[in-house]
Order: sequence, then structure tokens, then C-alpha cells
Amino acid sequence: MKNFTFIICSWLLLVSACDPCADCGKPLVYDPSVKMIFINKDSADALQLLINENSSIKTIADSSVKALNASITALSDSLIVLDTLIANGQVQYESTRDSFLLAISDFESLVVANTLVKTKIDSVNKVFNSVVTKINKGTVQLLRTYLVEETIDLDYPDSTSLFRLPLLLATGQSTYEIQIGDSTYTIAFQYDTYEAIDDARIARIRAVNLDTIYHTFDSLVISCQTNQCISDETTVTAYF
Amino acid sequence: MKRLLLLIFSILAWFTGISQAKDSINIDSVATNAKVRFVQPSIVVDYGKIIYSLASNEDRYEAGLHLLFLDHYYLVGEYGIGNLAPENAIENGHYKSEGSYFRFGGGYLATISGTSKLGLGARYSVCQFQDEGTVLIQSPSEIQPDYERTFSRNNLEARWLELVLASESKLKLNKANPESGINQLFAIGFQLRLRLLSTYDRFTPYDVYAIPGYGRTVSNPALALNLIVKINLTK
Repeated sequence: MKNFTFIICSWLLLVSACDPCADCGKPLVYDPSVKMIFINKDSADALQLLINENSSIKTIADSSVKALNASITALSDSLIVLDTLIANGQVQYESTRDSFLLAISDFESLVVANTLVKTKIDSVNKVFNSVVTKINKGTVQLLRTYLVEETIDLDYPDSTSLFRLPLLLATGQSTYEIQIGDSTYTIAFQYDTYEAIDDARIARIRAVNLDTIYHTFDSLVISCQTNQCISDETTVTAYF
Repeated sequence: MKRLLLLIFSILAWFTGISQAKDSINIDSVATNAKVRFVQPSIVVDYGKIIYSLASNEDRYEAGLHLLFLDHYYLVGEYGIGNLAPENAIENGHYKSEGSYFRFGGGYLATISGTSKLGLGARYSVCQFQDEGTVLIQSPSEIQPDYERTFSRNNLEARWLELVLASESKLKLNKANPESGINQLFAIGFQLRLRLLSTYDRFTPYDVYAIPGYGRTVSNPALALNLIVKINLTK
């Protein structure tokens, strides 16, 4: 009896081992795609130039402050001598002492002004640096994304730093016109397609040997995880 | 639903088996007094597959001819048909495999008690089959039509080896007369099989997923348990 119970339980376990999945038989909702990052390099470069110029001005202001402070120290030392001479009856140095006092006052005002300039440059550069960081991160909004081969507009309503552009399976080529700000750029991808089924038993069609055949961006960097440049794994960074 | 049916069938088989196995213990004296025959032919039916076929959308049937020599040594030939439709073969599609197979082999059966035997054997198996499948992909961006691909392969063949651990017990159907011939007619048991897939026709990207008589090609070696009833053809 125990043996028979064991047999039946084992048999039940074996025949129930491969439970059918709930979503089996349903279509996979999937397009092979290429990941795209758009970086406004012109703006980033212009801002970086401003940051560098501001830094130069700050260096000059810093040197001026040091020179002014040295002059103030020297004048203050001379004032001590002049005050001693005047106290000893040499009143002809009084006008010189007044000139030194005026000069010290002016120099101190210049030190305050230069220090203020340095502080302002720091705060402006901080803002500029954060903007450059944001630009380099690629956070942009695509005002229009148009797939030329199918004459279809794709909708990307939100600003983000990574966009997935779907690839057409039938033609082996997908050309996009992309509007960012006032400018429209074109990029055309070429690839082969292949079918594969993974360990989770999900069948997909993927693009392989993915490359660009035409673009109007300033420059492109294509990053592939393998030398086959497979869709979904490949990131294209476009500088404009 | 089909899993529930399978469970109900199994529970019914369980209770039936328990009562029969319990009764079979009482006929030791009959078995021990039987003389040794040179050959005892019998038919073996896999009733587990019948239960599974009734409760699922797959068809699996298997039977065999068993020749027992000198009460211990046996030769066996088995034939089966299978119509397999594993739902997880292609998650975003369908797959079906259909064909027939035969096995031949032999082994040794040791007598455990007057009614029970335990054996070890081996089989060589050949399956002729065909399969077909469909892959479904839907475009979320709607830039292209939904993709549907079907494939179909005929005249496929697979071969594998099996190591079989078998156990069987005679059923006492005539309780009033333990020496009745009908008590020597039936035996039930199980066969635990370790299957080692040798060759099969391979394809890319969609390889053969299920082979009738073997199971899933992704499992190699594969373990299987058959529930059998044996019908003795001699008195």
C-alpha cells in the first residue's frame, strides 16, 4: 500500500511538473529597437567656453585681490612711518598721508568688488556646469519622430535621456527624421534580421550587424555589446 | 480543468490500486507453488498514459509485448503513439509534435515476494514523428504588421536509450478462490525510466521541442514514470 501511494504521488508529481504558463500562446508584444541618446554638443561646448572664460576672469580677480592686499599692506606700513614723522613736527607729509589713506580706501573697495566678482563667477559657473551635465546626459524632448519608410509619426511626449527607436523587419532599413528644438535631423539604420528563441522559450526577431548608412547629426558614436551589433543591445549617441 | 480531471482520475486509480495491492498480499501461497515456465508472454498497457490522454489535450498511448523466460529474464517490445502539444514550447506561439515509436530491450526480474517482482532493464527506442509550430509577434509601435511564422517538419527521427527500474504485483481478483486462474492474469506496477537521448533531427532557430515517447529534448537525460498493467497470456 505504501509502495502504491509512493508510485501514484511520484507519477502525479512528474506529470504536473511542467505546468503550462498563463500567457502561453499569446503574441509577444515586441519591436526590435535601437537605443538613442541625443547630446546637444554645440550648446554644451558654448557653455563650457563660457565656464572656462569665467574661470579665467576669476583667476585674474583672484590675482588682483592678492596684489591689492599687498599694496594695502605696504601703504599701511608707510602710513606708520608718515604718522611718526608728522608727530615729530614734519607736517609737510600730511598731504602724502591723506593720499595714502585715500588709496588704501580705494584699494579696499576694489578688493571687495573683486571678491564679489569671484563669488558671482562661482555661482554662475555652478549653474552652467549643471546645465552642461544635463546636456551631456542627453535629456531632450523629441518634438517629432518620423519614420520615413512607413510615413508614420512616433510619439515620444516626455523629455528623457534614452529613446528606443523601433526597427522595421521587412525592409532591413529604418530612416528617422527627428526634430529637436528648431532643427530636424535624419538618421538611417541598416541591418539584417534573424529569429531566435531564448531559454525562456520566447521567440523574437532581432536586427544584427546594425549600422548607420546616413545621418545629419554633427557626429555619432555607436556602442555595441558584441561585435555583431544586435538590436536592443546597441546604443547610438548622436551629437548635434 | 484538465489538471483537476487528472487529479480525480489519479485518486480513483489510487484507491483502486490500494485495494487490489492489499488483496494481492494474500495469494503468496498460490504464487510460490507455481512451477517455473520456460516462457510467459504477457501484454503490458500503460494506463497512466490513458488517464493523461483523457484528462489533457494530448494523446499518449502505449502497449507492449513482454516475454518472461524462466521467471526472471525478459525481452520486451513496446509500441506507442503520441500527439504532444506542450504549451510552453514556444511561449508566444504554438507547438505540436506527433508520431509513433517503438522500443525493444530486456532485463532481469527478481522475485521480491510471492506476488511482487522488482526488475532492472534497458531499452533502445526509435521514434518517427513530425512537428509544427507557430510564432506570434505583435508590434507595439504599430509601425509594421503583426508577425506570424509557421513551420512544419516531416519524417523526423529520434533515437534514445532507457534504463528501466520496474516493479509489479499480481492482482487478486477472485478473493473466494485464491488458486483461481484469474488471480494469475493481471499485475500492476510502475516503470521508472531514465532516458538518454542519442540523436534527433535538429533545426534552428526552432529546434524540435518534444519527441513522442521521449518527452522534451531540453531534458537530457530525462526521467519518466509509467504506470502499467500487465495481462498474462498463459494460464
